Amino acid sequence: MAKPFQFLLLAFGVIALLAVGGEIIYSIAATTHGNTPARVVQVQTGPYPLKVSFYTYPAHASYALPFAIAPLQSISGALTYEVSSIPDPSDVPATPVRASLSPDPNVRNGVQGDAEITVQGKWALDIIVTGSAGPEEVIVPITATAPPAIPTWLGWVIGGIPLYGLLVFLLMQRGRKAKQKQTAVVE
Amino acid sequence: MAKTFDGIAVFNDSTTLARSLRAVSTLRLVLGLTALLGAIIFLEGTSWDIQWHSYIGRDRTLIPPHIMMLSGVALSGISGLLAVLIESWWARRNTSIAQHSLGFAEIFSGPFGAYIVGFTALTAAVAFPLDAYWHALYGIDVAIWAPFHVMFVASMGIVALGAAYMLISAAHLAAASPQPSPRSGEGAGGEAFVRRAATLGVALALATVLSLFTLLLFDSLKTKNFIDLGFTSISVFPLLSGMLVAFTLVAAAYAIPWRWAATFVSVCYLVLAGIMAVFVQPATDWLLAVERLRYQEAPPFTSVVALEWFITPLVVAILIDVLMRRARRKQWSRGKLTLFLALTALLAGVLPVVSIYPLLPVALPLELGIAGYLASVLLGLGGTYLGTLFGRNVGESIDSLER
Repeated sequence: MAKPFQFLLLAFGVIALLAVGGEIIYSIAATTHGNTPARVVQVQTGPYPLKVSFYTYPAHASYALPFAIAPLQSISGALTYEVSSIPDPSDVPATPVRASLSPDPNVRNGVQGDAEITVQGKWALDIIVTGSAGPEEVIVPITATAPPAIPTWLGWVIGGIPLYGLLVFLLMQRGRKAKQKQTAVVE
Repeated sequence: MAKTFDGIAVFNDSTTLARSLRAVSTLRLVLGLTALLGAIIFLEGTSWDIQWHSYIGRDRTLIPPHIMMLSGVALSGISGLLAVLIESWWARRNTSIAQHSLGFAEIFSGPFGAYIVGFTALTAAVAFPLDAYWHALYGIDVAIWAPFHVMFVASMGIVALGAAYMLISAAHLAAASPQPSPRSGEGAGGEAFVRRAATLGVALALATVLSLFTLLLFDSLKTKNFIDLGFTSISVFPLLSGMLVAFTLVAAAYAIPWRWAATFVSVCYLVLAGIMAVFVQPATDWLLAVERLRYQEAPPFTSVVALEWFITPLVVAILIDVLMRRARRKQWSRGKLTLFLALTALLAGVLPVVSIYPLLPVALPLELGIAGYLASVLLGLGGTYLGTLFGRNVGESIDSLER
C-alpha cells in the first residue's frame, strides 16, 4: 500500500477515534444536571403541586434530558414518582421510555432523573406521583430537536464505507496473489 | 543475543529466534480469538436487539442488547489495537519479528488482519452514534437496510474476516518457527496446538462473516425492496445471498486444509443461530420483567432471527467440498471448477429455505413472475460467479499468508 495512503488511513483512524471519544463524553455530559434549569414548569397534580425543571430545552433527540421534580409546598408523608417520556403518536414514530430516577438530596420529596427522547418531534413527560392522597398523573409537553438532517444519499455514501473498503480489499487480493506468484518465480 | 548501538537486538541463536516467533504467534492467536469473540458477541447481541425492537420497541439508547453489541465492538477493537501496539514494540527491538510483521505509516508493525480488525471496529463504533442520529431524524421504524445499520453490521462482518487473517498468520508463523533442538527440552506440541486452534478459529471466523452478512439479507426478500423495472420487478436476494455464500464457503474450501472445510463452516453458521435460538427469548423475557416493560405483540418462543436463518448454505457447503475433492482428483481446470462452484452456490440464492417458511423458494417466483424471477436468477449467477472469484482469491491469499 502506498505510503501517502497509509498516512491518510492513519489520519482517518485518529479523527474517527477522537469523534467516538467526543461522542461518549457528550453523551455522559448530557445526563448531568446543571445549576440553572433551562425551563421550569409548574403543574397541579391533584393535591400535589409540583415544579418540573428541565436542564436542557428543547430536548436533544437521542440524548438524555435531565430533569428534576420538586413539590411546590411541603407535603406530609412521602411521595413516590414514576416518570416516562411519551411520544405524540401523531408526530413521532417512537415508543415510550421509562426515565431513570433518584431522590434529590437537597429537596424533601423531590427527585431528579434523565428522560430519554429517541426521536425529534412532540413528546410529553408523563409523571405519576403517589402520596398519602393516592396516585395522580400529569402530562408535561416537551419538544425534541435533532441536528439538521443530512440527505439520504449522503447517509448511504457514509454508511457504505466498510463495503467500499471490503470491495477494494477483495480486488487487492488478486494483485497480492499475483505478486506472491511473481516472488516465488524469482526465488 | 547481542545488542547493537541503536538498541536493535541481533539474533544468532535459532532457539531464541524460535521463541520470539512463537511468542508472536501466540499473541496473534490469543488476540485473533478475542477479536473473533467480539464479533460473535456482536452477532448474538444484534439478534437480541432485533427481537427487542420487533416485540418491545426501541426505547433507551443504551438498552442491554445495544450494550452487548457495543461490548463486542470494543472487545474486537481493543484486540486489534493491542496486537498492533505490542507487535510494534517488539518489532523495534527484534528485527526477525519485524520481518514477519507488516509495517504501517512508518510507525506501526503488526499482522495484516489486526489492521483490518482495528479499522473496521472503529467504523462500527462510529456507526453507532450515527445510527442514533438517523433514528432521531426518521423515527424508530427504520428497517435493517438503513445506512448506519449496514455500516454497523458490515463493519463487524469485516472484523470477523480480519480475525481470520490474524489467526491464519498465527498458524503459519507457528509452522515457520525454527524447530527447537531436542536438547532444549521444548517440544513441537505447542506449535501443533497453535496451528490447530488457529485453523479452528479461521473456520469459526468465516462462519461469523457468513452469519453477520446474513443479517443484511432479510430485507432483500421484502416486496418493498424489489427493483421495479416497469415491465417487471426483480429481487436482489439471489445476487446478495449467492455472492455471500459463494465467497465465504469457497474461501473456506481454499484456505482451510480440511476435506470438509466448507461443511464445517456451515455447521458453525448453524450453531451460531442455535445460540441465538437458546439465549435470545429467555433473555428478552427476563429483561422485560426487570425493566417493567410489556410486549407490543406476543413474541415467538425463540429468536426471530434464528427462525428465519437460511438452511441452504449447509447443502451448498457439502456440494462445494465434494466438488473441490473431485476437481483435485480429476485435475479440473480452474475455469471449470469456478463455474461449477458458482452454479452450486447459486442454490443459496434461488432456494432460500428457512425453518418457519419452507415455501419461500416458491413464494419468490410467484411474487416476481417468470420474467422477473429469471432476471433475478441471472443476476444471482453473476453474483455467485463474482463471489466465487473473490472467495478463491481470499482463500488462496489466506493460505499463503505469513504476516
